[in-house]
Amino acid sequence: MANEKFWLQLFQPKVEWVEDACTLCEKNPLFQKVPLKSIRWLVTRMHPRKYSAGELVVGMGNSGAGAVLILSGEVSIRVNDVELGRMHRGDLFGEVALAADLPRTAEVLAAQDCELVFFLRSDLQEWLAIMPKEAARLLQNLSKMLAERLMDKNKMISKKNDSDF
Amino acid sequence: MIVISRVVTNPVILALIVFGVGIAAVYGFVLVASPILFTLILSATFYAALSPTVDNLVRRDINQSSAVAIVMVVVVVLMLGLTALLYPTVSAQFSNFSSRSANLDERIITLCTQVDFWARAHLGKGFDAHAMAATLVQALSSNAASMSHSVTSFFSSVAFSLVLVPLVTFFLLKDYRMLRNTTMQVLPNRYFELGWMVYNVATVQLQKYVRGISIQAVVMSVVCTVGFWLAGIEYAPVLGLLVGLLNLIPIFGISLAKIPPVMVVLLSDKPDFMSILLALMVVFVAQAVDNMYLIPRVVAKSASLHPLTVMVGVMLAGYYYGFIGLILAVPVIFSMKVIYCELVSGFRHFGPKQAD
Repeated sequence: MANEKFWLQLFQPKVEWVEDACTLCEKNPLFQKVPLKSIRWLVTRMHPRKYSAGELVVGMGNSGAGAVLILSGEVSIRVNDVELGRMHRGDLFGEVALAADLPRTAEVLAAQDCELVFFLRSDLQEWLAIMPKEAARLLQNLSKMLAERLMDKNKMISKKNDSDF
Repeated sequence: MIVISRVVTNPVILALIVFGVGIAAVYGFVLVASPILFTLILSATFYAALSPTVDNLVRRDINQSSAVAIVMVVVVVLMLGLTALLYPTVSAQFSNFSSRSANLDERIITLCTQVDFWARAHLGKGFDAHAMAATLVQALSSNAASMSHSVTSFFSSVAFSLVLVPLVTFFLLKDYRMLRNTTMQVLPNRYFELGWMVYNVATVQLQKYVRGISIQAVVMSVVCTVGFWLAGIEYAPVLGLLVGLLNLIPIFGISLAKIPPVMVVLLSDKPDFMSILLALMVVFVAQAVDNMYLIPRVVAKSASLHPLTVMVGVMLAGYYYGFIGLILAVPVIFSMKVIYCELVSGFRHFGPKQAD
């Protein structure tokens, strides 16, 4: 019975999570103005994983292969054992790894049992080759998100410098 | 206990263990799949060549299954048409060639007598044409026998695979990505990202290398075909293709590539010394182009292997897997090197941390 399930799954995409992930992606700023049809195409190529509470999802300093979308559960973002925040269903983290193979800037731990979906850089590159227009839209959104984050950091640094003086 | 923990947390040893298990799994697969291994390799090559076309159709709003079906129908019709068109010519040429090879020794004696006559007239010195012919026939037949056995078995494998290859290619084009993703799901959470990174780096490097040697084979085949045709040597396209393929074999290919054109000249209606020289010159010129332009610009950048590794690998692959082994030895060794290096660098980041 289990064998039969394995062979069925080998050639048939598991659709239960695909619908859910499509809805979440559609609401995420990274996928803003990307047609639903393209989102669906991309989501069917993503990789769902299950994590138990307390399990390490992303290690700080490790190379990143891509971004991660939270389907269910909660994750804790930490730097040097200090919790910076928590992320929930529908949130996406590790987007920097979509742009470049850079070390992860924080550690992510599963705070509860989680269902996560990995959107890998290689999936994005494949998508870019097949649907360049739609992928370019996503890259535009990604650059906007990263630029906004850089501006926030700059503001934080300048505020900190002002308060130091 | 501390020693075991150090061994298990050492990235080099960890990579060696994973690599060893991987090699054992691949070896087991090769053993089990050996009757259809050539078919699988050929299908994978077709998959790599055709998947950009399928992607292109998908980009034009055609769904994946229809795109694969369209591409496969076009390819199969083209293959059938080409076979129907070329079969009578190739078959006639082969029967003509085999009838000529029956009196190879007589042709060599005629050639040696010609050279002896020319040497006596111009240099005032000659040699024993019959003794020289006997030595030449012996040397040629030992080389040609092994090469013709390898080449014949290669082409019979191609013929056998013709039925299965389109089917396997169809399913690869349709389901390969899904199959790959499902296989990668087996990886534990901790090594999931590492697995994908190793896979991506290895595929990109291997693609670069295969693209490099394919360009090399095509350019060599075209240069040799044109050269043989200009020199008036028979079977120029087949010879060009054969020299292009033989040239892919590292170290030994450079010598092996010279045998087929010499054999064809010897088996022609009027074998003469000048034609042999011309045939050899064509191969020399093609190999000069290869060494000066193709290898440094196209191939060398993508494969950096020690010559001794290549030599031992090619000899062993040739011994165990014949002509296919000779051609695939370098890409396989190269992939193994890339995967091992990526595993070591990956385990440095993702592996268990060493205790101080």
